[in-house]
Amino acid sequence: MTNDYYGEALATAFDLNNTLGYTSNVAISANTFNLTTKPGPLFTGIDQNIRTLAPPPGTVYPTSVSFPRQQPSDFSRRIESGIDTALQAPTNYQFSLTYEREIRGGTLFQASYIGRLARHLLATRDVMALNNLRDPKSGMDWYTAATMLEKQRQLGTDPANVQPIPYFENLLPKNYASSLAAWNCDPTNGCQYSIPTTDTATQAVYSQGFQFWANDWTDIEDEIEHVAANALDPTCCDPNNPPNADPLPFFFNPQYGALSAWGTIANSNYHGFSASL
Amino acid sequence: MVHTNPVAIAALNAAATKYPANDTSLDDGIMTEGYRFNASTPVKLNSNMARIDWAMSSKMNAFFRLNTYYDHDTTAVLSAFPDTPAPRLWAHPWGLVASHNWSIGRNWVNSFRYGLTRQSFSQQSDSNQNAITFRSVFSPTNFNGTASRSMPVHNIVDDVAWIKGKHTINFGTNVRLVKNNRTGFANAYDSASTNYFFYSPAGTAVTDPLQTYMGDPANNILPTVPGQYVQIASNQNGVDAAGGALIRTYSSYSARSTFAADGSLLSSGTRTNRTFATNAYDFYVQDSWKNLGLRYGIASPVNETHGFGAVTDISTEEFLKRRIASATKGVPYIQPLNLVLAGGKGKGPLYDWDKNNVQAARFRSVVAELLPGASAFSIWGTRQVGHPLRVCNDE
Repeated sequence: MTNDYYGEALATAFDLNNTLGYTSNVAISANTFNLTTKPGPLFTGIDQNIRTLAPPPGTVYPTSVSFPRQQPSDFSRRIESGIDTALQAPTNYQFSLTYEREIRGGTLFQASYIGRLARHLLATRDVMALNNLRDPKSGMDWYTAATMLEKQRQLGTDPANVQPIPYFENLLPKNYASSLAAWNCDPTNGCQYSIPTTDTATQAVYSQGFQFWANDWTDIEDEIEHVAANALDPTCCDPNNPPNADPLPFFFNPQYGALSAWGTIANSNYHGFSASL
Repeated sequence: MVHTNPVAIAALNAAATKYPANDTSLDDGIMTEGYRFNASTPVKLNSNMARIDWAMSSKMNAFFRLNTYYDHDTTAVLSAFPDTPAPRLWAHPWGLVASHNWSIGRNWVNSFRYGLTRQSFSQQSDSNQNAITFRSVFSPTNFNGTASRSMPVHNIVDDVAWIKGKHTINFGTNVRLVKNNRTGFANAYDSASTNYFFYSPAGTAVTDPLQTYMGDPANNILPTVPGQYVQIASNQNGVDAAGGALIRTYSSYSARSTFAADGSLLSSGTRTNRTFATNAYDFYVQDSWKNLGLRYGIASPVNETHGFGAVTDISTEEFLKRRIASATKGVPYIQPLNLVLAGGKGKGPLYDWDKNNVQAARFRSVVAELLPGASAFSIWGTRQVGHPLRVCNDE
């Protein structure tokens, strides 16, 4: 007899905290301060009161909490965990079938089958996994389009020879390459890589991998969202002053970069056979 | 341009005086060095067991057993310095069981057992202050907040056997009352740090101006020791750490807040107490003759007993399905996911009661005679829902 007292396990062993709830953490993000124009607050003593320091721009130190509440849709790619509210009891099935026959000379033949099936097992998955966004016009999805580019990247195809793929041409603004060129450059540190502003959107996306991110298509998706948003900004596309619009949520959820949630969503199938003489 | 902070220099000077560097094998050996000391790391492991057996009569007996553990371990987290607390890992689980067996007449036997298992531990802290640190240079203590947990599990079992002719009928119950009491200070204190990686631009904010300044002959401070400048230039993290500590402006700080169940703000340093609980109840009846039986179980969803429960307004599974469906149509699903109160004050429990755990006994199926030539044939199967029980098997 086996047991699936999943509630007891959750009560005693579940140890993943979501940051929303009855606690809060107001924290300074990286690059908020520098050593020239935006210095951070001074150390005044090892017992300093942190609450006298200014909170991050646009935030306040909380004085109470109320529900319902939500993480802001600020595209900060936060990674959190949780549990599904639709848990149900796992179901397990076990069965076997054995056939046995005595043949000549006292030889015994036996054949057996053993099966074990389980449904609604506990498992985690990222419910904010990046969208496999489909282009309604071409019918193509992200993974198909990105795979076409990745195969060319692995062959070392020059960006100038990459043919337009309708997925990118339909999804992204016409001035995507110009926006990428501006995004990619910093007035003081120069450009990370060169992007002809006459490139097609497909060529520009390809260059992001070919020239910088290699096969890191998750970071490319992140960058696409920023560059596409900037392309739609009226101030686009000055390399000396690139806009900083909120990303377009093509792939990432605006609230979470990842949200790993327990759910009773897993199945298992085991089939075993044996034969003996 | 930011300059050095005399208050920070004084604090570092006090620390260096109190804990003089004595080990160049730690850190970079130039900008920062280590302070090594002998730390006492006693470990105490104690356990006790007591048992009482009592033959109350020819038809009745009982026993009681108690186990306790009382362990102290100071090797898990060492003290930061000789004069700072050494946080102990304190494990003190214990358990007891009481049993009573009673033969009632010639045909009845009752067996009762009560067990309590109480797992518990506490990783203690070396500080009850805000964590203010000079990253990679000096931290007054380890600032590990105390975290404690105790998990009492009460188990009540009663089995009754009744012998009647060819029948041996058993019935009884198994009740489990589970709690997980957690307390901690993980979010009780604020923190601040001279985190040199947080200055913009990350990684080079401190070293770049230092190297520029030192490399300028006009400043006439090039090191006289051959190779020293090269070593500083190639030791970016060490220079960053030391430079960041001397500058001592906070590039990183966090304000952590905790709230009461009514939503009001708790004062800094207040411990967080949570209790997660669930109860499960099983009942069964079976007869050894023909091996028939029925078992039923019901279990409550896990809940936080102080009213701190919160759940998503849309099940995460449903949320994922909506995202997939919307992406297939070419439209990103950006409906915000909300947290709402759960339990008595809100939406309901974390998940539904687990109440469909019914298991029947077995059915026998012997069909060997249906297969000519087979000397034996057997088939059995089990369907287990929640807490499973075999429902069919061969003999």
